[in-house]
Amino acid sequence: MDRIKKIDFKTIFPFLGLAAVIILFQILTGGKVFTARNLKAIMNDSFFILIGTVAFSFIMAVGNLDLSMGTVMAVSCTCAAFASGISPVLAIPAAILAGLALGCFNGFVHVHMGLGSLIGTMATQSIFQGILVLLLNGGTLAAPVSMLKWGSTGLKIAVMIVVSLIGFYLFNFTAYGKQCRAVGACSEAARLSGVSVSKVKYMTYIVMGGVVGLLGLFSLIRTGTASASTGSSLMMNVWCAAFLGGLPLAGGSACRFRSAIIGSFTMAFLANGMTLMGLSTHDKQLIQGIVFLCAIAISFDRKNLVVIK
Amino acid sequence: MGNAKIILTAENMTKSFGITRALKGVPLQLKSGEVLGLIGENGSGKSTLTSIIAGIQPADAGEITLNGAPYSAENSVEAYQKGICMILQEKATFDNLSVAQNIFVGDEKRFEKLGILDIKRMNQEAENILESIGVTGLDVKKKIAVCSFEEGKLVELARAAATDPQILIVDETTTALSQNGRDILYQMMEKMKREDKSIIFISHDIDEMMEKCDRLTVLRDGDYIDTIEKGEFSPTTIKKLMVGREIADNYYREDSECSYDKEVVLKLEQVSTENLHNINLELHRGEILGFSGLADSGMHDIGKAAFGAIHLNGGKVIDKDGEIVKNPRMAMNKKIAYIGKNRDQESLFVSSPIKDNISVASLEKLSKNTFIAPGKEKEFVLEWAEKMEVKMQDINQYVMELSGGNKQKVALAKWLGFGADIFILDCPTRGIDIGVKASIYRLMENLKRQGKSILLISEEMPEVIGMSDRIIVLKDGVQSGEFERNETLSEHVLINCMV
Repeated sequence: MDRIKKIDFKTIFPFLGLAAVIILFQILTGGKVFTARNLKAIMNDSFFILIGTVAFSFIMAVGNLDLSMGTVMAVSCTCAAFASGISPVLAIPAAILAGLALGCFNGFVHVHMGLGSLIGTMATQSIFQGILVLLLNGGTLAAPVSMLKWGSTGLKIAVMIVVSLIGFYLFNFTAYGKQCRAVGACSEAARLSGVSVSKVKYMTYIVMGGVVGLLGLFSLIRTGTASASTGSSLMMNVWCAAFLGGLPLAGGSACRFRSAIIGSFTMAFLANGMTLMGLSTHDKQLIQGIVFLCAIAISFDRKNLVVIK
Repeated sequence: MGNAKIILTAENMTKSFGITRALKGVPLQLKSGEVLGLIGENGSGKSTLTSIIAGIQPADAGEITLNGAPYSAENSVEAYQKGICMILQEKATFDNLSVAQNIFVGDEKRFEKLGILDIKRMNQEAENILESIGVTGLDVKKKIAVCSFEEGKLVELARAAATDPQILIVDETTTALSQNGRDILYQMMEKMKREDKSIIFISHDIDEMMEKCDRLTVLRDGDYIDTIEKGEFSPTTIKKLMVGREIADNYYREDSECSYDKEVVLKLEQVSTENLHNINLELHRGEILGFSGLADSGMHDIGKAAFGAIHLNGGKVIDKDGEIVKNPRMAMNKKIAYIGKNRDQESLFVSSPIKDNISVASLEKLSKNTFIAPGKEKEFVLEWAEKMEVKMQDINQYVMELSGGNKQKVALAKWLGFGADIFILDCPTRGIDIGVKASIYRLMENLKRQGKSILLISEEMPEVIGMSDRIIVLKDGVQSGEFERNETLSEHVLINCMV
């Protein structure tokens, strides 16, 4: 009986979290959360978190992690800025290709060099950061002003919906999504059931790279510049969203796609609420850290403790 | 034996795991100087009962009396201080410690001199103990990590011998041991008996139980059924008590002819791995090809090699079209299926639902333009789970909640659903109760009749002899004998080739 109750709690915890965040800030701000203007701001906030978390959920399903996503986004953003100097349209393939290439490198480090994902992406994170500084030559890079006009809320919502639908489909209704979870559940059993474990792991990092590359493009459109601080908040936001949504660290069949969506919105409402409250960046960081700790403390499966690969 | 002193009594032992009632008020009596067998199907409560006695987990209710005084143990250390020691089914040694350190783990103080461990003396003592139980040729300085599973078990035996327990509990250990390892265990049990100490012995092997035990206590579904004396032992009686109904005495193949098609479906040519040297073999259509050998004979590598699952140092695996099988995916393209010896690590996702376990090998078959319809997947899984008669609540139940036999049925359902033509089965009935065992044998016969081929690798000789058309015996990684199915084939002949 105990076990059943616990599973139920872990299932409803993300929903409770989302509801709690919304209600809390609705009260604290005196009803400012649900105004048209603020909802638009939430959309903007959730854009990066949601798309990043959707891609990240596949990596988590495999039982891996990614520490390098922020720098991948920054490098993609910088490549896009360079390309936009030639022609704004070129920024699109530049960002995505750069992301794919770096994702590929992450896959290479994890699969072929056989390094654990945590330590491997920690190393690549540092490498990408180095590349970024070299490319930017210590400064920032601006995109043509015409690009800023691309960033309509309509487009962002459309991209969010399309990415979510593709993610939902891949995760639940294709061999690829099921194989990701199989590898997370037990990679040796997956291998002996005909799953190409290396290929699946590679794919998760390549997709992550491509998707984060896309985010780099949107970052350029939103801010007009690529700088050393581009994407610096992405990883913490995405990880937080993943754990708030209830994605288990160990991966496997307990991973649900809805976790990515719910977690992202919880995170977006949280960030937005704190902004509405007028909290400083430092206070926000402190609170976000506490929330992260609580989320992982609740969702962490201490009984089936595994070493993160 | 009749008037021997009763040294341990357990009464009304009760234990539940969630909604599962593992023990429902079970009693137990152990006399001094006896081997008491505890027998029952998977999930009957044998391990639960003994692990409570050994202090590994607490009971919900019930009382235990040891030597006339109330007994309880918070943990296994307390239990062994009180003279009860248990050898588990699972590995219970420390990888990064040496053989000697493992033997004296928790008892290092006796080798301390001014706070410094006298390793030399410890190693010497370890050697003495190993020798006293009859283990030779095991380096006490060797780390457990580089020892085989069997050597690890022997170290556990030595550890038990070192503590000199009054009661030794042996839980399903013999399946992991070769004949030599078993003999060591049996001798140790004999010695304890002579010293008027007692043993609680658990095994799925009924012949072994009949031979080694003085009395047998039968459990079924957490209930105490009966205790019978040596004079009343017979396979039929025991099986009947275990299952609750009559079971045919002979559940292997009835026919005694070696029969198969001429067509070769799988060929190993000069295959060498870490544990195998230049193995050549041909598997035919409709053939059950058995492999027998000691634990370290390399026979488990045969299955892995044939499935492309391990690196070959030389040679090749060739399918019926002459193509080379290099990895599990290619093997599956050739309709080869593999069930490993370590079920929970190699064949199953234990923390996943039954559904995911059965569909995983057939995802490509189930998808249409990348789309896998949930309804279609569910239907597929249900069909094969039902064909295999998996006892489950529904297909979303977690595999870890199933008994060993049912787990194996799930693994088999995966490959039957996949539609394999060649089945590589490594210890398919390991740790499985006789009811499910019989159904696996019937399944193998059916597959053979349908023209499918089976590579059967097993540590149980009666099973290999009872089911195979041909038997290949391995010794030290090379083939040491080959036999065709016939009525007179006995275990002795095979053993002679093994050692």
